[in-house]
Amino acid sequence: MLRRLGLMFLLLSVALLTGGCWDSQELNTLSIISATSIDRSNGKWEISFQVVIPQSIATQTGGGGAGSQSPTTIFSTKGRSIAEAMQNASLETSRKLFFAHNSVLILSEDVARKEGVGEILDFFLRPFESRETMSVLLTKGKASNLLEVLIPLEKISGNAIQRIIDQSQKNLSQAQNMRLIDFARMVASPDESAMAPELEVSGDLTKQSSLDALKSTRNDAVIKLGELGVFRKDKLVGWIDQKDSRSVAWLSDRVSSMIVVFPCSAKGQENQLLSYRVLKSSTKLDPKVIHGKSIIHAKISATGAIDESGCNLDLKNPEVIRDLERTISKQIGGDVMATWSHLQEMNVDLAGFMNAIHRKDPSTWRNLMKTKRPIEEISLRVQVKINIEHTNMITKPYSSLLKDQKF
Amino acid sequence: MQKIDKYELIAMMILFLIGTSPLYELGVGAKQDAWLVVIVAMLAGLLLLLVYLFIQKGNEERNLFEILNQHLGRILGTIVTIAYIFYFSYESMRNTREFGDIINISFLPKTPLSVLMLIMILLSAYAISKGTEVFFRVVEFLLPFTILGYFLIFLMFIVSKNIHLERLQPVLEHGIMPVVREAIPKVISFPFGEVVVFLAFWKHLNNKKNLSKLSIFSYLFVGILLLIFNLLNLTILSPEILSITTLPMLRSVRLIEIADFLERLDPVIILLIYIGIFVKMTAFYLGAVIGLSYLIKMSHKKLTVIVGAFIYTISFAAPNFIYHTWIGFTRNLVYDFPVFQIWIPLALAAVVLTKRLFSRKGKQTRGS
Repeated sequence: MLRRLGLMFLLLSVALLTGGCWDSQELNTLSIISATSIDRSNGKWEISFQVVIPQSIATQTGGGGAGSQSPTTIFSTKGRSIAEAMQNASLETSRKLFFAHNSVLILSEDVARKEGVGEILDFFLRPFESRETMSVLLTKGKASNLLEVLIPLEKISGNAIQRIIDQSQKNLSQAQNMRLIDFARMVASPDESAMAPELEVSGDLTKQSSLDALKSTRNDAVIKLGELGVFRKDKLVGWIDQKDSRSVAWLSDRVSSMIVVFPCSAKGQENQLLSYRVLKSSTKLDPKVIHGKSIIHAKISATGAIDESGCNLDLKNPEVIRDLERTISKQIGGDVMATWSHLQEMNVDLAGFMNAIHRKDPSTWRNLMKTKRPIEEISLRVQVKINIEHTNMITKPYSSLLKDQKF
Repeated sequence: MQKIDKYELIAMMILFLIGTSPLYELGVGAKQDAWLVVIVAMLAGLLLLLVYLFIQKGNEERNLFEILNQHLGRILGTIVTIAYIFYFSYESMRNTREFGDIINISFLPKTPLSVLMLIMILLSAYAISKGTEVFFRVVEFLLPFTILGYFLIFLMFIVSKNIHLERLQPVLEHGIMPVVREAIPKVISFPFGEVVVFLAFWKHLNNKKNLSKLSIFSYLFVGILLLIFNLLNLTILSPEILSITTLPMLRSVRLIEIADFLERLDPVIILLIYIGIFVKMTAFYLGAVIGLSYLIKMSHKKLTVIVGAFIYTISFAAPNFIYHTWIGFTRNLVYDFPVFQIWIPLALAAVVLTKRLFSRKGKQTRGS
């Protein structure tokens, strides 16, 4: 009898212990953060959170339709350290901040230039709850402004921003979605310079932050991707424009799809333009040492199709196509070389050249690292091979039909 | 007499050796060559395993403690037996504390450590109180799930395109020495050398003909599995990030994102790690119980409670997880564990060998 009672007692106590009541979290006591931004003001960290309001996204039908309540709300808090700022949020929110769904981290230029990202990365890599797959973005103005912009079609703008980057990475190959972990890895790597895409608001921000903005068909302001922020160690040192960003994508083998616009080569039609869509591409970096100088051979090859032709050429003729391929190659090669000299001026390595040398030839790499500006010791040779696979659904340009028409 | 069959032994050795090891990046001190450290340690550990098997072969029907007392004499044997009981308890406690703290860091930050560890000890104690045979059978049952789990995670790493093989280059940038220095004795002692505890179980195998074959097969299987997961961590996280990460596999797994819905698989890896930890801590716990039962004649259940209470008590010895890992990785692995995993077994093997040589000579002289 006593034995049985003891067993009952043991079972009951185990049942109580394994309930896990110490860490219970109820959904209605959490405020789910979808985006975070970090600014600096008066020597303190200023952190803003975009918090999802569940009831307002649940009741609305159709994406982003104007309901009575905004789908998100924003808290801003300050503190001497990031953790303190975050803790101060408890002073004004009714619910516990929940980070696991934070998908975007926006840093202002000011923070990235002066403070560096070291402390921020430490803070976001440390807690278990924080996701290392969130996207890191930069902005030139105040970072919290971006959280205020409502984006049509989407309810939660934090998630929308991540989708914008994904889209542009897939279709434009210009901005790369920089996951927190990749960003942290690039900042920490001795052979790589980190980069992060810039996000900007164009238009009238104050109007687009009210729900009324979604009632009109044309938006007063939109969020869009801009330039590419370049880091040396953990500090932002400059920006490169969209053209250079594309060249960096070519060099670092990240082109998945891209439109290349190039001028017509036929006589008398130099002002006309053609568009070439890259469907598949690959880049191989081959580091060599010739006469004591480090040379990187970049072999870029791409396959694609003609998407648009403004100039009248016989696109059925392989000879003409070969000529077009040559023109495109020359243009891409020229762009890449121009970008490389920009990068050398900035003394950053976005294309992974030092990595390529380190992996293939550690002793050359060690010698290069002894020099003051290793990037300037490397010279680049580009070889571009473009293949036009087809011309889509029409062969000769439409304008060829108009050539001999009288009326 | 408890009996275990060959599948049970294979399952036990595999899950025991997996333990917590996939969670850590073994040999991370050698940076991108950490995977070579695993290979070197695996091969060196294989030699140790052969030594253990040699000891067992000469004493088929005896366990470690019986062998010790047989060959080292009553006094020295008892001293070494007590030392092994403490060593096994300590190893068991290390796993208990580790898991408690991992759960604290990850899922249940506010749950008291004492409760987490108590639940685990109770579970292990329950398994042990039912006897060696039952415990081995439980492990046999757990094996397919664990292997399937690890295999699925491996598959998902490939599908989610997180692997960058080029991060392994340059290979052997600073020569072979940093690799060897990482491997010996650190990675040998954890996890490969821990197999020494099997000296306490091997005698229960019903058909001892296959003992060496089975053990070496299981050992190599786990070696390859650990090598794969070591490579995965390296190629996914890069050596720089790895060097500051508390629990690398937990981080790698969180990077899996497939089709916008298969993400945050960390609970899966925690579950797999729990299975490994449970097997390892229970095996060491059982080793200590068997050792104690050799010294003190008492019922198996009472001994289980005594050793369990002892393990639970010493698991509070470290003031925090930082101290616990520090003492584990920089002290125990280098200075303390090799004594039990390398030096005593080697000495024992030497004694067994000389005795055998002398007795053979004795036989020969008598025969002629």
